[in-house]
Amino acid sequence: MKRGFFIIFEGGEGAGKSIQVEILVSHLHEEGYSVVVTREPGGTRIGEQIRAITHNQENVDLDAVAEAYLMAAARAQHVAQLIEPAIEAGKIVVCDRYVDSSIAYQGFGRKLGVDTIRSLNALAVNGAVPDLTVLLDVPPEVGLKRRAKSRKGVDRLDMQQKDFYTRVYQGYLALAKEHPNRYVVIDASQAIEAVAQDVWRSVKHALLIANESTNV
Amino acid sequence: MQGKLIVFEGISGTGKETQARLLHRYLLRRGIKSHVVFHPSPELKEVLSQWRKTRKIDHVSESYFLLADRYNRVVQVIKPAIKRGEWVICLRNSLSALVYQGKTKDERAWIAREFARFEPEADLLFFFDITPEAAMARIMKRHKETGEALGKFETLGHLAQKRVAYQTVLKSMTHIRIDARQSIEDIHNRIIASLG
Repeated sequence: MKRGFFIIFEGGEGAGKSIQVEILVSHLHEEGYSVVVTREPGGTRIGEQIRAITHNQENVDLDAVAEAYLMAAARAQHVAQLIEPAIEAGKIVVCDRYVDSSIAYQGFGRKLGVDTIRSLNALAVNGAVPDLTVLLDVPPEVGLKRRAKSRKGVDRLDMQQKDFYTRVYQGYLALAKEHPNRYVVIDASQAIEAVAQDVWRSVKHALLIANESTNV
Repeated sequence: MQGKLIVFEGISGTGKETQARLLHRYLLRRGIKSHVVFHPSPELKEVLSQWRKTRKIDHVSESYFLLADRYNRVVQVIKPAIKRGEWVICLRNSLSALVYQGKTKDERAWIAREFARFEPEADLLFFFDITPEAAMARIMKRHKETGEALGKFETLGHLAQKRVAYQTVLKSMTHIRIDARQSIEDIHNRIIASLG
């Protein structure tokens, strides 16, 4: 069977990832694709329990290295139990956040080092590299303002200082530059519909190329 | 003055825990405060054994939990205690991960590198060695007497395999081999004599 396709949404706070994931998935369904939607940390029961720890305000003093290991534990489970089997079954996997979130938040944001976080995650990823990473690009000031306005409660990761978010933002841009083949950067300060159109155009294009290359 | 880090390693059924308690008491009488630290922590051990049964936890995911667990112990308990001049007796350390985790040589090498980022070097490493048959007999005795559940590595085949794995890993490490068939008193005395 033909291998599926692995799409990731990345971006800072208030970039609108969850709504864009939903819209993209509805497009993919309309086109008749078989889709698995998931998120990190989470996606499995073990992963969701870890998410409860890492996103709890009471754990604001959670050590950065311990956090990185917990995120990787959730990821290893996620890849083995859900992502890899779905891709092998020919499905499209759409995931809200993945390894690059760890690199941006822990590597750049918490200054643990990009290489440290990358090699820390090597075993968890186990070769499951995204085919397409959609970076929803919104400057931290705009994103945080949006986030504050939305009805969502403030979680632990929202409570970090502003320069932390600036480092995360710069980190994402650096990652996009480093991997131009799998990254597409979309201006997410636009209206939701406009962002969704840009996302759909990029995904369609990437799927087309993937289909052509497997048909040769 | 800096404290010391003592590590007890070896397969199940070799009497490590008994010796840790005896050493702790011995040190206390000599006015040295010590901590007995389990690896993995009993809390994580419990969670992992449940998740193996109910949630099909992936073996790689387990390795990461062990890393997070050990990292926390090292940073929050072991290093501060040693800095205060206290001793730490570790029942297993990251060495166990090399024996029990990882399905391939590459995985084990990765695990070793990751633990090496933070695991402090032991001042004394004791390897409790025993034949798999003798270990199994002790485990069954404990199981009958205390009702302690059998672990997933507590079969004769596993014990034999893990003993070989220990011997391989320890080849390149300074350690003191303890013949774990000896009496509790003899082993205790041997440990004390090694403290210097």
